[in-house]
Amino acid sequence: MVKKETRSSAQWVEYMLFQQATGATAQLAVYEGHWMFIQPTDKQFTVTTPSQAGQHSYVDTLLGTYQIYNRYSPHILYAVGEFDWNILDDQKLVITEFILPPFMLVQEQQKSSERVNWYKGEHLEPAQIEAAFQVDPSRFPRRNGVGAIQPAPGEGNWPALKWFASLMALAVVITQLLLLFVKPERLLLQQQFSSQPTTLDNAATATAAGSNNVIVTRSFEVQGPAALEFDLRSSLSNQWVEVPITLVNENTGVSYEFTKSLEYYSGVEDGESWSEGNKQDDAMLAGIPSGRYHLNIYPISDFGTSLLVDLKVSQNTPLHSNAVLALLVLLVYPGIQFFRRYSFEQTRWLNSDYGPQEAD
Amino acid sequence: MKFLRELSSIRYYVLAAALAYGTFVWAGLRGIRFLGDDNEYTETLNGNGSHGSGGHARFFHK
Repeated sequence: MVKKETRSSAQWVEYMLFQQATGATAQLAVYEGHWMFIQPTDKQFTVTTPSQAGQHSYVDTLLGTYQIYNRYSPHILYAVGEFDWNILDDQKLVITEFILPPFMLVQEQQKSSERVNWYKGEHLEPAQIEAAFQVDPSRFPRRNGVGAIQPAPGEGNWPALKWFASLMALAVVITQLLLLFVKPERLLLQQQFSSQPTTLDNAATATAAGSNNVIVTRSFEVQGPAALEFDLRSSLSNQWVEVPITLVNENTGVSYEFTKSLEYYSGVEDGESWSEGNKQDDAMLAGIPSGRYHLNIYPISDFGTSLLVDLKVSQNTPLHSNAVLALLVLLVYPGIQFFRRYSFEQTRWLNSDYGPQEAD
Repeated sequence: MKFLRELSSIRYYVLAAALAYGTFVWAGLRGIRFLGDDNEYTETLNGNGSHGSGGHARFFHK
């Protein structure tokens, strides 16, 4: 039978199946290349119609909630074969489809009576039709769009993926918190130094070639392997200071070095105040092994300008960026699946008058 | 058994997630940052820095 909806151009084909042994009948329906197997059911279902505007009817079952997808009256365009009922009576039916992919509940009601028949449909893949009927798949109608009850991508493993990804994300957060206790942050050095040669109580000062000022800090013990954070601050006012720092392992001679520049400028122009730069900066050295270390600092500033710089060094600084990256890596695949499924569902409901977009 | 059957359906993700989590824990314990650090030193030298001719980057403001 070739049918269409009376109020739209949507057409589909129904094949009646008859099982001689039991006398049972069933239907194969294909719409836009999407196959469905439909059987009558003796169960009666209750349709709930919310009173609030914008909400649509649904059917609650033990399996889940079937949402209304379509309501129409069929018009028969063509039929061939033997039918044990007057198929033209089908044109007097009002058919309502409720979906819970890959299943569908179909409610058939006579326009002139209260009698209701229910059918249950299930999505079939073309390969299943091919295997069951040994039909050349090239004769199948081409599949277009998303079927009413076509399973979304990753339908089979989505629940497992969802809870496992959530579990792993929770594990990362808990581990990050545990690391704060297992490897607590510890202050190793706090020192103030001048950008020009001066004598400070806690710094040895010397003159080196290519640098105005060399400051050798006191030694400190690193309990590694650990990440070290260096916090530099200076009270600048239209000034700059460059601070190259070398971390030296006193036992092995292994060095680590970096340079930070602090600069801060401000003023008033056309009645508006402006500022640029920063009086504070920080640096990080990662994976520093255990040992006794000191710093060589080579500060540079404008000639004749002596600036005081506060330096704090701490170990086991929390590496929050690691946790963020781990979470991103863990959520990439579930995220892709989520958006694929979301896009799929949006496309599915575009063919319905009862989708979420209709409720807006 | 149902739990294991469900996990087996996403076994590649489970493996990748376990690897990512293990790497995260290892980096946390070793004090390693995935995004890298500020170390500019490219070779290991014995001694206390050889700074005088080491060639620190220098820039001078106007």
